[in-house]
Amino acid sequence: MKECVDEGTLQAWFDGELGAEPAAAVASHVASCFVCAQAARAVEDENLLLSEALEP
Amino acid sequence: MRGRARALIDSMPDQFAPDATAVNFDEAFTLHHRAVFRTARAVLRDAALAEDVTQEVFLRLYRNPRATENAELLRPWLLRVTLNVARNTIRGQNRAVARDTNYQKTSDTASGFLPHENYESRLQLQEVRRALDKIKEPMRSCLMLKQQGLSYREIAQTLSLKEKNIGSLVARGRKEFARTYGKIGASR
Repeated sequence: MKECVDEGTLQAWFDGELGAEPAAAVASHVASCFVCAQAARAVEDENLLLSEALEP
Repeated sequence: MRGRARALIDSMPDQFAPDATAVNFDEAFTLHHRAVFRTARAVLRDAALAEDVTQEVFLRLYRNPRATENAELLRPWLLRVTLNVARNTIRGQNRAVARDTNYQKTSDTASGFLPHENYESRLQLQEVRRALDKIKEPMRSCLMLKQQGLSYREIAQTLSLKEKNIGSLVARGRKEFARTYGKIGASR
């Protein structure tokens, strides 16, 4: 995957909603693109905040 | 909870208890009451209130037996009703908390006591709710249902949205929550 990953696809990747092939393409792009790697870290941070805030 | 719901139904007048739907209702309750309860608890952040909402949702199902006609659409129907009933409950709660907060401020000033720990944790709950309230629909519902472990397909069915848009809606809801909750937390 040469083009950057849009926010919906990145979210779907984190949520395990992509098929094996697209998921592998996203993983390889995130590993080689500084901007998308930063976006992925932001998703991780925000997911953590969300889980902590919404945990019962 | 099953016992409480059964007792609720048993106490209803006969005209609300057509035999043809009784089995369907029981199946629906067995299959979906946990998802309804979890969704209500996620919105309300309170197990006792979530149990009340769960009962109300299944009471509505009982009064609307046509909702059980299509098994695939039943869960989305139940979760839609759950979100609506839970939001109405929050509106009632917010009014009660506002009254309580005013009373607490008055009595703290008068007595010089620090607010009680329970009061602090209740305020924190209110902050989470306030941050969630700031998120526009349908992003908020997408985010809540995702947090409850629903798949994108189930979220799309529940909210009558296109499955391909769910990832983007969840992402936007998540960003908005982080932005607003961060701000509320920083201002404390």
